[in-house]
Amino acid sequence: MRRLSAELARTARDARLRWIGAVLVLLLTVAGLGAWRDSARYAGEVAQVAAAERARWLGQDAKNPHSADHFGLWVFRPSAPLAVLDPGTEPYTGRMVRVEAHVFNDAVYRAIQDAGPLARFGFGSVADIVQLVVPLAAILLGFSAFAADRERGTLRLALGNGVPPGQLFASRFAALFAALAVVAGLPLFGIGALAVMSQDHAGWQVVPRLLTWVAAQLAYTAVFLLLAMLVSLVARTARGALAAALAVWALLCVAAPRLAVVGVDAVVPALSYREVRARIEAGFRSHRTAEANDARTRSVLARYGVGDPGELPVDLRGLMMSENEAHNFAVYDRELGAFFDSIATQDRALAWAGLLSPRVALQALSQTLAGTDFAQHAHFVWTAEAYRRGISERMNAEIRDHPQRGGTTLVAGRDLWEEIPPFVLQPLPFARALADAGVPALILALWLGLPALLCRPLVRRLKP
Amino acid sequence: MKTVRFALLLGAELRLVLRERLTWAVLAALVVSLCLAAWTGAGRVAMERAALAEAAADTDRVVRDARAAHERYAKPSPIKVNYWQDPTDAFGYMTYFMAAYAVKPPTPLAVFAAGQSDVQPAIMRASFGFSTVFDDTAYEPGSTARLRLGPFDLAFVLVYLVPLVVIALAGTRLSSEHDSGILRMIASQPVGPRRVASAKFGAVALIAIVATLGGTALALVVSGGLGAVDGWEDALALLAAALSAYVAFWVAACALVASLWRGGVAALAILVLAWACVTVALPSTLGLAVEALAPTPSRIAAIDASRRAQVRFYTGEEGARITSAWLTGKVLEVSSRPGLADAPEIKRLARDAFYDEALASDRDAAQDHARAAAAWSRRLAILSPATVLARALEVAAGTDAERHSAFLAAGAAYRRDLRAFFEPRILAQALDPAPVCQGCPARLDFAAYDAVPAFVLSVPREAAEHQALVALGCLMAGTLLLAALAYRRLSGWPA
Amino acid sequence: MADVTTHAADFVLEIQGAGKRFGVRRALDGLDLSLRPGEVFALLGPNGAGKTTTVNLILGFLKADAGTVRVCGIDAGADPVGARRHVAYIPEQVALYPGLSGVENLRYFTTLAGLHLGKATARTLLAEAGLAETAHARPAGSYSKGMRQKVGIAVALARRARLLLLDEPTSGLDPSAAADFSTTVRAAATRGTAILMATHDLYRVREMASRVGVLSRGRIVEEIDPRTLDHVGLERLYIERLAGSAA
Repeated sequence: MRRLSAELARTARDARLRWIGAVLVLLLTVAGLGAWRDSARYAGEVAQVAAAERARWLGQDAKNPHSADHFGLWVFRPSAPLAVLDPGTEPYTGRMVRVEAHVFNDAVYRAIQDAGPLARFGFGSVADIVQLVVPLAAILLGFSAFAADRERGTLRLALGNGVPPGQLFASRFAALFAALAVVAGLPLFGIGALAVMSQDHAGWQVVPRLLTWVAAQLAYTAVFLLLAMLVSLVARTARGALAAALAVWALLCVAAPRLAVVGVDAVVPALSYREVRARIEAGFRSHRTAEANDARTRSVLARYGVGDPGELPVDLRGLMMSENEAHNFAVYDRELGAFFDSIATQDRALAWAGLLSPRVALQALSQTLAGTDFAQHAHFVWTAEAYRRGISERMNAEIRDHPQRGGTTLVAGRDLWEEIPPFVLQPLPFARALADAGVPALILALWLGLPALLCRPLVRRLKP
Repeated sequence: MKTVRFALLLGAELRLVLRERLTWAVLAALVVSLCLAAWTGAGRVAMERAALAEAAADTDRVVRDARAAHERYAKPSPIKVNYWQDPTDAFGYMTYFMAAYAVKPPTPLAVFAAGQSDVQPAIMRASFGFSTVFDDTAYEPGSTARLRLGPFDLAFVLVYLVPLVVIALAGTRLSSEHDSGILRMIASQPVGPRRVASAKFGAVALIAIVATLGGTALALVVSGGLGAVDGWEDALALLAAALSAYVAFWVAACALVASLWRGGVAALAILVLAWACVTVALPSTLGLAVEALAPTPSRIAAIDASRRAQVRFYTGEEGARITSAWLTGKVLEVSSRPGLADAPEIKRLARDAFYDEALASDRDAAQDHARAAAAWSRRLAILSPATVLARALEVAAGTDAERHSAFLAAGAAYRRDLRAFFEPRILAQALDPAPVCQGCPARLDFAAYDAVPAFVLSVPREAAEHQALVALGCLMAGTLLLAALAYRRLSGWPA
Repeated sequence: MADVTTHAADFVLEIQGAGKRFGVRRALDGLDLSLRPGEVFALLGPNGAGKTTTVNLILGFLKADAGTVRVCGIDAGADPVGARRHVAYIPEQVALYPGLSGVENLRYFTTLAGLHLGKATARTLLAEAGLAETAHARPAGSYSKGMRQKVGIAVALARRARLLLLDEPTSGLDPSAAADFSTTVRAAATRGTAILMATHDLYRVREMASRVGVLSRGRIVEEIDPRTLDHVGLERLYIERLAGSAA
């Protein structure tokens, strides 16, 4: 304990820590507050436009239900509260869907489209800073742990005077980790708390999310601290230790993540969206022709045993629209379902690719815990689609069940519009996030365990 | 005499650098990275070309199907063909069948940089109606991890990894000699620090430039990613020169850091932090500056505006009023044709024109923003060596934001051209339907499929040359500045 | 060296009234020292007496605040590179590129001096400096301190330097290596090289030096003829002079 407090005091006096700490706190605060401001603005806009859309839907003129279906509305994806810390996939996925008859529209307008080319270079978010800069800070603090002492000869002095190497290592690691936890962990926690307290977070289970999220970032930091100390244990000079640790950083944080994506793309390719859309289009084409329509009309009449649409107990147009939509839904489910499945499969493979780089593992883990992973996006897309289908089915049923005679058109009003509930997106529960986080968490733990395991024999046989 | 001596010295330094195993390991890693990057780039370009071919095939298929429908429906038939099922009708064809694509073909140097191509598709199908509040709705979702982490393309290797390679080769030159005491031996010879530093850093610069250019050339040949470069030789040569200047810039940075005589640890730490600043922190800051100088107009506000326009059109008699006003502007004898304003195609054309007008200011704001952001990005990019080189590579590859915003504008203009092509034909049919045979189910008023305007492709070669020249100038200026500073500082050996 | 200056042919090294300050500390205070060809001058003195500053002035790494330092008539402060053309320096720790062999190191350092040495010449010079032939092609990383010093001597031989500066040449050498070294140095002196060595090793000083100067507080407080004293007497005198100058 005395040794730990001595190490803590030594670390606290280190000018390096003050510099690194100041830079980290500044970067994290600027990025965090910027993200928080953007997120608050977006939440405000979404709340306003969602209310306006609801009012427009309810306040539309009396009209044929199918026209109302075409009138439709826009639905918006609220940002996850912890997106302030890790926006994850949110900037890269559409956030707004036009809900209208017949079409499963894409979620459009991604923040990245508006961000400009320069923004894609750097670290746009708190999570990017943690993934790229915090390891650098850990290395700059940890590389000299033993190598500098060895170079100066003070390690020989310490070991020669009976200081147990294990204790020396443990107390140094603990002191440096505590320092990093203060300069990186506390700002993260502070920004997270600010984001959580200032936003609506119903259904998000923000407290356990924030705690596990910060814990994951600290575990990642510890990986690089351990790696730097591991290098320091074997390097003869401080320069050698720094060079090796920086090479490891460049490899694991800069090159390997992109390589991992290339590898995953090659081994587990996702379906091409363009081809998926082309298949959907082809699936509709043959169904949409006048000939196909005519054949279906005849088969409906035959099914009801009548020769003229006027004799049907239901409205022919409503019934056919309903059946057409059922066909379309099946095509969408088959093709887009396969597409989203292929992305999910790729995401799972990418979590395993974390074995190549802890940054990849952390990215998967972090966005899952923050609720900004692709699963949440897919959940939004399908929830919006289910909402769209709910409207179409209700409108078509209204037409089908009220057969019109003599060329008149059915007109519905507010009573029918009110039957459609407002669009609400319940986030996927935290339990689901925990289940999805299993693989990346395991891999991050491996990254933590491996250098720790390697350090053990090296510490025992520590050479002065 | 002095030149001969310097050549000898340079030769000795070259041998020294090439004797180190680290040199070969680092260069091998560089060449492997370049080959891999070129391979991924070649794959991307091949996919883009395939997509263009598919789009062209789709256009042909639609025309073929439409002609077949013409033949089929020119005979009496009991079936009913609605307008949305009728490719022989100008309105039906334009709205529900036509596959007209605005495309942005890859340049011969497309393999160099994925640029914005992973978020901005190079193909847009012209569509009419309301769903497109903006021009940039085309969207091809895929792996978000790839978008987040960025592609492993040549631009990544050249802009990010090459400086790290240079730092690995040159970062501790002189300072490691200082640490180990060899510098004392060197300094005691009758030679000044400027000469020694010139030879040491000159040797590394030569090796790094040859490895980078040679590795890139090898990667391009092996991957087969380079298109037919006829006419692009100048752009390619300028890019090679800019790339050499970029390598020289980092070597000069290493020399400047060495001239501080702070030892290897400090030199490495300073250089890696400088790398992080130049390639990551500075571009981020510039990105924030662009955002401040050209603030993004709210998409949600534009959507809201579009919906207000829609509500207006569909409330009460407003739609009918707008339609007849539109018709009055188009056709003089409209009053003599009762019911014309109720025809769905007329209502649709009037509605879309109304929407276009209602959203014009939002569209303009979006286009202005795209242009302003691209222009500011172009101007500010010269402030960081990484961004200026990356921009040169992206412009050469034709995947830069500026080309894309021009493409979006061209796509919007193409849509207007298409509408201008179809509108008179639709109106003519509404006013005076084409005669069809007795019992023929379709309208048969449109067969000019080949006359439909095609999108005019543009492959901006001059922009590529210009940007490569800008990059070359900026990087040379930066290199000279750093080298001059290092030269000034290296007036004497440290005592 | 065709362009050897013949000016002041009598003196290879001439230091007159050299003074150097570092802030308030006076490192050299009117140092006078002259060396003729073939002389071996041992500069004795405790840490901080000004030995390293003297060496740095001669090599032109520092500029004197007062007085002049001339090597073969060339002002080392004004033209350090010109002065170094006549000086060979062997630091306390001769550091070599560990990945290069002795031959390669020798060729590298002589290239810096503007010479182009063939491999055979390099081997001859190394042998002349006393480096065993088996070691010539081995990486210098495996060399002992004595072996590295021999490479340093070979550089000096190759350059036919007229002044050899030795900084603590025998510290850390085992007795046989030290004896070996003094033989090599004496041989160089016989060929006419002037030698200035800064050292603490009184025993070797007696063996190698023709003149001994006691440096204290930046000036030579006593010059001794080593032949007049044995090394015990030399030690006694050295301690007395230091005590005297400190008082």
